[in-house]
Amino acid sequence: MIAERGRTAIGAGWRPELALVIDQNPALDFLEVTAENIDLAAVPAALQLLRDRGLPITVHGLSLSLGGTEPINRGRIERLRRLAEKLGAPLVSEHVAFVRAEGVEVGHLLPVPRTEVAMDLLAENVGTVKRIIGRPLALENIATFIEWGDGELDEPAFFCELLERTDSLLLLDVSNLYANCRNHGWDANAYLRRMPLHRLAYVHIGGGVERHGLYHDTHAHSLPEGALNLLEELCAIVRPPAVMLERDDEIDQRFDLALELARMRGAIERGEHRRNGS
Amino acid sequence: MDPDRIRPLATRQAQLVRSLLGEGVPPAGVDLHRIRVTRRQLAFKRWRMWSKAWPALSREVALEDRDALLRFLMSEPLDSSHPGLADGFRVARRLDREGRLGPAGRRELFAVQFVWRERHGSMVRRRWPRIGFSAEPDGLLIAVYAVRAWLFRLPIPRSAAQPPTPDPPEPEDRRVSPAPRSGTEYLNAV
Repeated sequence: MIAERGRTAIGAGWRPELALVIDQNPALDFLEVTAENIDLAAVPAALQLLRDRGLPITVHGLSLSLGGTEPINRGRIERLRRLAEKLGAPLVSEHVAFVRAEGVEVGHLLPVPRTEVAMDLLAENVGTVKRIIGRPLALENIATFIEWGDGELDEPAFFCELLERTDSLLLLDVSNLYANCRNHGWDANAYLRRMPLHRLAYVHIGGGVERHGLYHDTHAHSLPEGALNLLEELCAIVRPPAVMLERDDEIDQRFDLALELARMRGAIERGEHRRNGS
Repeated sequence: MDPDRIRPLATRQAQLVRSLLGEGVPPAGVDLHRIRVTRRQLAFKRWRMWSKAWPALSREVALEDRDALLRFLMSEPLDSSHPGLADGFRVARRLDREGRLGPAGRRELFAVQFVWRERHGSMVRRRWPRIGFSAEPDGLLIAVYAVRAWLFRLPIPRSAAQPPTPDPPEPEDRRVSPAPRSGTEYLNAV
């Protein structure tokens, strides 16, 4: 869907600070933009150029609050739709999370209790979003320190049911999975094998750091070996259509995009070799 | 969905949000330590966002002011549309009120206020075209907003009566010189 090339496409999250280095990197097969960071009235020229060059651009949302109990703001969905249309996005993605309650914004993705009521609510909201955007929607797992403690399902079972009910795609963030496994003691390999990988649209991977015994998914540090190992493990099970690097901060001369992409590619190839038995 | 069915979930979500903002107790079953860590993460995230959106002002903020400003920001509602822009605006206005806004921060505030204004706690773009001026000790800032925004600085020659200063020399031909890159980049990137 993102890039039909018979191999896993490699992409990056487009950020203004990365515009030049992305423009000069011919190895990128696709890009993702964060909808909230783009002004619809003034889409950056650098991004338009890449689009005109034929690079697929997906649109990623942060603030729909699909798991929130407040009705989703139609304006936000409409904005996603218009941006996706403007960029010719093959798909749109959002998180299984909530970001506001009682009208108060948190500015952070919070987990939804994995209960029947939350599932019904999510299914309804996802259905509404899909009807308006008119494009495939991929749903992403989040990294969180918080667990509700009364989940009726674990995350793979929750995603299987949600994606099946809403006929949505999966955006698997292996770094978020790595963080949750570190912080909650989940079994990453068992998790991967139980996720609905037949619905996999693409994969996120980003850097992080451990502080005071907890792993923080910062998107500001280099890719940890643990997340790369999970990417390799995933590629040993299935061929992801696309894998994308997320880097939001600490974009300075120490950050080497080409090096991080090469590390990603290395993990993908190691996984592919294992999958092919070579 | 039936409002009665989702009410308990809404209550718990609101409880979690309030506890992350430092109000009330966390919902049952949620670890207090994890709430504290997430709250700290949120605070740093807000600090990073506004620092990125206001590079000149953030460089001027003194190290000893950071904790107080962080507490101040966390007590303010988050503007979901332009969080970094709005938080930086609050910091700039607070420092301005206290008479502690430096020259780079003042210039950035002028540039932002030229294009944006606050309405009901949210930042909204002003109508264009606009042109504006702001006097500086040794020059004049000229802002132009028509689809995109530009900021120029016109240096004013010092009079012979003024004592020489160790400032860097002004451009020889005294043409209108562009403002620091960060200011104009910022205006159009937000």
